[in-house]
Amino acid sequence: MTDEFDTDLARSLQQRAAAAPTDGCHFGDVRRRVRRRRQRHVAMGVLPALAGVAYLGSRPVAEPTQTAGAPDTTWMGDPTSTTMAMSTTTWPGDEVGYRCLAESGYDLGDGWVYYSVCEAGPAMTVPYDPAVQTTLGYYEPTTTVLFGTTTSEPEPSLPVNVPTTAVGTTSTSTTVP
Amino acid sequence: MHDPLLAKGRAVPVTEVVVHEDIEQAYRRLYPSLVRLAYLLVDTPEHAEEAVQDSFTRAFSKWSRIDSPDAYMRTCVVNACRKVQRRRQLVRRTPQALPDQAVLDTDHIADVVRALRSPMREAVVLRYYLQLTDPEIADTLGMAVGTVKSTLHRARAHLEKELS
Repeated sequence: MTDEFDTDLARSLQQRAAAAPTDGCHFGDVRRRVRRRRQRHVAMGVLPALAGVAYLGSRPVAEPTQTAGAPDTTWMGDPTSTTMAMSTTTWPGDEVGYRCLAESGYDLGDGWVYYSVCEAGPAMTVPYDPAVQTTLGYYEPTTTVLFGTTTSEPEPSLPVNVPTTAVGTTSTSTTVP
Repeated sequence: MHDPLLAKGRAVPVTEVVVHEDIEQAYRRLYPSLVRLAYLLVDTPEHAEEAVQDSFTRAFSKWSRIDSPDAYMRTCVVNACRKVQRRRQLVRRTPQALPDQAVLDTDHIADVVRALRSPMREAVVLRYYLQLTDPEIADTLGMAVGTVKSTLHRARAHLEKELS
């Protein structure tokens, strides 16, 4: 029984295999497949690289705003330089919900003075959280210039000369050479 | 790239390569037998030819390092057929008999073999069509010899039950 079953099984498989077409393809088909496969591999390697280069070429030099709640501020420029550096930050604010459009710094010679340019919020209470201080020098939150209606109150003890041209500037950045 | 077949000793490093048969010559020699083997493992002749061509395409770049082309290509074709089966499981589980073969009783056996699950089908085909030994089947399928024996035993019991 076992030998007969094995014989029938082998004969059945031989007959089925003999029905397979074996003269349809030539080696040129394999060469063509190899060529397509290589082209596909090259494309898979080159296309991501091209996309990356295109992205790097198309993105802005400086990000216009940071995400809300970002604890730090990126300063464009050398903090030790006397040239004014400016950055922008989306200021999370308190329950009032104002938005800081820009922050700037000004070198007084013995230190930097930082100020912010903000949108006019509904309550106009603008606390200045020193959490944004990430640069060198000391931090003096002296002036808050609101966009539109201004409630600037520079501290009288510091000779701050805030450049008013910064009011309303949203994403201006100066790169220090 | 890591090649499990190369790691299993089926191929040798480039420095140990002796004179090999050209891949085109090997293609002409092996293609008919490999298509027949693939035809027993997949559903249609087109899929069988596709599996064999794909196997030679994959082996093209590493041909000079392959030590035993026959066994290497046999394993490649079995793996390619497994891939085809995975893609077409529904068709495989409901095989359609070809008109010119359905009248024969022995072809019913082939249909039952074709309906077996993997790896029982591969083991049965390698044993009863290619007449390979258990170690050769184990080497081709990447199994232990004991696993091959148990697989063949279960496949055979299933076939006897289906055909009785």
